[in-house]
Amino acid sequence: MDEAQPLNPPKGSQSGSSMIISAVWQVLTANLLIVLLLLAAIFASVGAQLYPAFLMRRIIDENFAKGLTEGVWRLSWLYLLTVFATNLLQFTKVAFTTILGQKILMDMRARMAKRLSELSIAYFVRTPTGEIMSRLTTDVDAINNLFSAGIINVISDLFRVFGLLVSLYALAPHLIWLELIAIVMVFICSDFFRKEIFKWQRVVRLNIAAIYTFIQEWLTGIRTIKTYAIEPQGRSKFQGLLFDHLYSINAIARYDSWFPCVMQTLRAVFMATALWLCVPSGSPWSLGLSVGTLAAVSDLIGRLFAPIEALAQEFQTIQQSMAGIARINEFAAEPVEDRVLQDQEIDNSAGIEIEDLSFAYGERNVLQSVRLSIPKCEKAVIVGRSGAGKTTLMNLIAGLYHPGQGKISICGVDPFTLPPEKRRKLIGIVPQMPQIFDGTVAENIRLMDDNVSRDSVETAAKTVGMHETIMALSEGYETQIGEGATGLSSGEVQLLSLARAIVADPMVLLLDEPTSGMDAKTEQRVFAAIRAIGENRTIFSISHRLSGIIDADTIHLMAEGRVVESGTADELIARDGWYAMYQKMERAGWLIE
Amino acid sequence: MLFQLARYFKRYYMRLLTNRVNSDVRAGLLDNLFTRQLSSLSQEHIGDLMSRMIGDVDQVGSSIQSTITEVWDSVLLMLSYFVACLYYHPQLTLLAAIPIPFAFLIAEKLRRPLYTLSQKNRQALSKINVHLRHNVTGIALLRLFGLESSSRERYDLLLRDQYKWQVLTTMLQGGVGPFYTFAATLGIIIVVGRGGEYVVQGVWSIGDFTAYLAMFSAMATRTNVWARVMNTWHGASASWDRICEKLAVVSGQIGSAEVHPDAAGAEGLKVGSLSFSYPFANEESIRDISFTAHPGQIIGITGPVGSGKSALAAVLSGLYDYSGHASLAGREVRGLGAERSAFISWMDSQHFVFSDDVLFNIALGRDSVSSLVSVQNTIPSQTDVPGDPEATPDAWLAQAIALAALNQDIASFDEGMQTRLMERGVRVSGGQRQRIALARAWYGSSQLVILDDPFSAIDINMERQIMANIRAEIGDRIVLLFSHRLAAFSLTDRVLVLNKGCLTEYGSHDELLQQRGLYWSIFTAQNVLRGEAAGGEDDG
Repeated sequence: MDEAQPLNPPKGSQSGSSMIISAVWQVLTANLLIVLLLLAAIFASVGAQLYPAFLMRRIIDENFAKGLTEGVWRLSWLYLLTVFATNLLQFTKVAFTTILGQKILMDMRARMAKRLSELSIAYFVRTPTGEIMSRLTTDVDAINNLFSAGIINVISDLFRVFGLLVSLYALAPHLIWLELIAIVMVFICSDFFRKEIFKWQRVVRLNIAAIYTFIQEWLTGIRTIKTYAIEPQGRSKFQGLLFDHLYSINAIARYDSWFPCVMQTLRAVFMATALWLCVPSGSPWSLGLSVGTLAAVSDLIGRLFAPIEALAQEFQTIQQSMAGIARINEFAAEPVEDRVLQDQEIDNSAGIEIEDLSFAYGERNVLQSVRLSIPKCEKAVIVGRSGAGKTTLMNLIAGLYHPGQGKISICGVDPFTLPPEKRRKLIGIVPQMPQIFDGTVAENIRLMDDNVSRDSVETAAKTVGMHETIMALSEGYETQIGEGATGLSSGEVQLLSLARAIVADPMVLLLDEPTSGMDAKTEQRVFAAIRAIGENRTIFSISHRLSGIIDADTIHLMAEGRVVESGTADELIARDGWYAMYQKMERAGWLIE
Repeated sequence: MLFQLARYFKRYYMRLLTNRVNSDVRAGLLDNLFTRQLSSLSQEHIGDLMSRMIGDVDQVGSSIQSTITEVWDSVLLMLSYFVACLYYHPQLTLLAAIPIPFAFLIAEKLRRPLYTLSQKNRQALSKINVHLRHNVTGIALLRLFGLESSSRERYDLLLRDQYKWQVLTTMLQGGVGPFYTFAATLGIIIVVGRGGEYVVQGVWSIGDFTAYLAMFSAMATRTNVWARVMNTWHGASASWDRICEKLAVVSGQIGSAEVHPDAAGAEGLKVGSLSFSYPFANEESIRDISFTAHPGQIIGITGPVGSGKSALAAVLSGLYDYSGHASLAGREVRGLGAERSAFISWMDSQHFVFSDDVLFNIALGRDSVSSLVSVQNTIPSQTDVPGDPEATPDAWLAQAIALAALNQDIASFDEGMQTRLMERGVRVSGGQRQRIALARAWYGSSQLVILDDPFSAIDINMERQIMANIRAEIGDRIVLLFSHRLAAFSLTDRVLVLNKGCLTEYGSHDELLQQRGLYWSIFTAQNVLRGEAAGGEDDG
């Protein structure tokens, strides 16, 4: 590890379609046996479906025509056997298609999740949760019918049409023109329907996403909704969304309903023409077929339309998948975060170095040419009003975003390209709004990291003074907590988050308002804990009030995305600058008491 | 042609019907969720609810559709084929039809396993949704802690689990179809054998034979379709039950609306022996709390972490059940029902923001503001109407914005009142979010305004300004200010100190300081801390 090695190859932005293609390819190559068996079953079932017609011809021409009873029963058993074989093959087809289709779907979902993890935080910030969820769930589900039935049925139906056409050609060569004309007409007609249905399926996907987003958001904010009794507003908004959705699915229903009717009409016209041509007497173009052949031809023509209609119908069904693919394409077109992970050597003697750092959320500039240098084991605090860019600066130091301009280095390492598993050992973070994950208390401290021993979990909890609180819970460290009912107060959740940050014994601690939401006693406890664990660590903390500063070696004042003043408290006071102003204000504020 | 037209109408209106049913079920589900009590809603996983409202409803809808169409087509056709076959040759038909009921018997036998498998599958999908939602909402934290890959591993496991159930369900649902056909077609051997003999014997013409065979085969195929519809139902009933499970949660009255005799007809807020525990919590969060607040008063409530501040704020919102009494203007708060929001505003610590514009986020569509605000996008000018129930929505809005000191912020937004906020509030800082939530609580004429930790993301200067605004604008309102920072408490009329869920100190700010109890110790501790922070300068 003496030189920086890229841990993952730089990823070219793979489009949604090529994501699907490579998912299909991967699943098919990994399950070659199933694929081969499936293909065999498709071929065989085409044959098995044609066989009864020929069998029938034998029965009619050999037995009935000659008036022979003998052999009829043998042939009828044979007929049953082909029916059985057909169904067995049908089952094989269904089973293997399901397995392959679902595998592809699973693979796609996993690929989408992977892609999601490659997107920058900016994507998450600007995209509603429900929207992301709908793309990763319902839109992927929409492509399901493409694999579970669509493609395979299309292939097998194509085979069937081909097989039937060959048989028909063998039996009545002159009819082939009529059959081809019919196919072309069906194609033209179904293409019109396909386009319309696709258009509406796109709308449906958008509406589903909107419904998803609405449900997600309004259920998340349920407390606010209940408090202000705005359920009626919610209902009418939801009704509006449902109505839009209803409108689009009804439009599809209209095309969906017309389609088979149009097909059947076409079929009737075609059948009538064919029979008219086939019937021995009557028309001058009569083809003069044998009775047996006529029976077989009419049977085959009847059969021919089934797969053609099915094909046309499948094309309509597939439009849902196509609309889903279009949405996946949009998702895949989101620029992947240009994060090439590098295993870098940690320099134990270095602290935090920030050079000329600028950053913007979209058009809103948050940080401008920030320069900071925090030597190893120094305790630095950033003070500023809310909205001054403190949290953004911390997130950049933690490697969450790519700096727009400038450079950040922690212990000689670029945090943005640092592999996630290493990051936790280097940086401990206490965010402003801690989150509880579903799991036990111990798991919430350990955070799914199996390398953390139970002892260190308890040590961390003791350090932040949470041990007693945890032991008082119904099952101690094994108590289940999670979204909603946590059984912990918001202050206790913050203490838990502190334990979480120090459990991996990191060299650098980043604290975002560690004591907001804590009363004075807890605050003192936390400060004592931070003091205890801070001995050989570099600490970077954020505060929006001077009273939150404690034990800081240096204080950096931020205003409107810039560091406006830095120094020790004494230096700053002597300077009579921002710090003094802040202090004056705050003192005045607090001294009213 | 006419037949096809009729068929179109049949198909179209069947689909319309299903679509309608789907929409109605979804609207019904939301209605039910909206009427449920907060305490029971907090037990729900939103990802799971989303999965039920979308996936399960679709599942049921498509089953209804296929059932209706198939019932019509298949049963009718099956019966007509059967009658026609009977007409041709009753004996042969009855004999050949013997195996058909067996197909239905198999289908019926599959009810249980299909239900179970389908339920497992739907549950697995719910889990995927729940996991995904957590992942998306907590993405920053997952990344900060380097947990994204392990979270994705868990996601992959969930996907694999769901794959298993999905395959089993589909196999059982679709895979058995051919066997139904086969069972139903068993009779074909008799048809071909016997029928063949009839033809040879001259009983049947060849035409009779082929027609009969065609009809019999069609009947057999329909058997398969119908049996499969039965199986689809078995699967969909699992989804239906999952929907009903949520629809079945009844949400009655939160608790008795009976008022304590002493409080009847009284003005202001009267709280007596109030106790409350969160659902499934072992202990009571607050115990035996009593106090009174008069119109025009600001009551400051403080206490250490876990002392029950947020619990008290929640209870007084009237949205939870409790024991003891809490009455506002002579009415029990939990019994206010539909009128509750006209009496009480509760700013909780979530500071939730809707992805809508600033105007909606403050007024929440509770009243219609004038076109001046909604169309011309101007902040209404403030008239002096503190807490006046007769005031116009415009005046309320103006007052709320001014109180939360949002005028400048809104003026600085590109689209003013119509600036769209996002769920995660990209456009606004944490402090602005908090002040928008504050303006929302102040908007209107509710008598009781509960502010739970309203200043945590707001700097001290702004906090002072807002406190002064509240003092000036309070009118006949009662403000409950829950906070751990005591800076603002000198402007309160009464202070309540909670410790371990009990009310330990009660009095004015000055009285409590003189008592030298917990309040005094917290207060001095904050002073000491401030002294420490300021200490550096003096030592230097």
